[in-house]
Amino acid sequence: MLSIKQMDTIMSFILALGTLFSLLLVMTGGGLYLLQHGNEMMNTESLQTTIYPFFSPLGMIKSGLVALIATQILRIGLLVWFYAVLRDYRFTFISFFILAVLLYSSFLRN
Amino acid sequence: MTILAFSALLFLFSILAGLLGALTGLGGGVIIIPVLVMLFDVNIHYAMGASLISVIATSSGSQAAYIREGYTNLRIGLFLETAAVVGALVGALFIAIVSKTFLTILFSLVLFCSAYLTIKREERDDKNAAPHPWAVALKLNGTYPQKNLTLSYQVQNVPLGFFIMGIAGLVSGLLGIGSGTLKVLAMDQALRLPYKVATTTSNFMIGITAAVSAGIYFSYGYIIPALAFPVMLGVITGAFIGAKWLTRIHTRTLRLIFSIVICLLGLQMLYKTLWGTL
Repeated sequence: MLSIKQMDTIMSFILALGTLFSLLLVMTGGGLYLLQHGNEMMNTESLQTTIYPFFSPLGMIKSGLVALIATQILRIGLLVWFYAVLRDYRFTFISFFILAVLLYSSFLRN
Repeated sequence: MTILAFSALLFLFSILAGLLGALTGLGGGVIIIPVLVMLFDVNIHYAMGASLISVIATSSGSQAAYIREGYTNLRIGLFLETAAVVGALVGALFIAIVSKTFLTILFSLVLFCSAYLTIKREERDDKNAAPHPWAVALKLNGTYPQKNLTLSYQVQNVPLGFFIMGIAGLVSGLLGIGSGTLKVLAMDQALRLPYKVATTTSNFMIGITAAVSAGIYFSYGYIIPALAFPVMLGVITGAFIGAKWLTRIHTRTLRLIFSIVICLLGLQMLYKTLWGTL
């Protein structure tokens, strides 16, 4: 049975780790992108139509962005667990509701 | 300009956005969108996408510092966030239907009201004010550090705060911002929270609201990696610096900066909407 302080520390640590991971992906992808394309002219018209495979610099940046959002989802997931352990069922429900909306929005496809 | 120059310039503006975001509880998104649209000539939908990423990044970047400082009230944040996420979902889905012109004008007006209310607010002694029954039931009251003391506060007008949060979520989904302005307003004016508690709790909340909107924007294809990467990196840098300064800046100064910034932004948006380029 973990204390509140311990759970708090775990949550902060996981949140920081997730954000850091996302940051690393974005920085690496961004750096590679600039190395490969830095001297090309920026074309703000063709931004959406630029196709990039998963293993390209832009694909890496995109993975980092997905990780950023996933970290938020993870944070709420941890809070559901946190309040469930504390037997605070009102806030377990509140956190769970937010988690449900987050998951719904992430997986909704037109 | 070259991709390198574009990214570097965008990075610098994003640092500024992140700094202001961490200091005032705004997400910086309200700075990113006008900069991208007016200065860099980017389609507003992609600007909105980049703005949302910056909001999540600001929230993540500075949250680590805040929670340990003891200002953020997690329970209030989570409770109110239930209204905000529903609003964000509805707002993001409504993008196709609602007129942007009407929204931006409405948004400008909200900014002006916020600026006015923020400066007008006098220091008051709420310590003996009765908390709202919902606040008692959910144990929303809290404490925060002030120099070497720990001060406590009570929470009032919860339903009103809840309603405003719903609107804040709606605006976040529709305009691609974090709605930190409205959130701080709701917590400061309706709930009567101490200002720094309001701004830090807002910072916690905007990340979640923006994540809901971002999920949907991804499916629309509005999130562009080439734009998002300088924005995200710049904003995190600025937010990190800003979070360090927060404890050293006096609340009154913060409020003044906040009011001036959003007044200028409101004027800017109004101008653009009425005279053409939005």
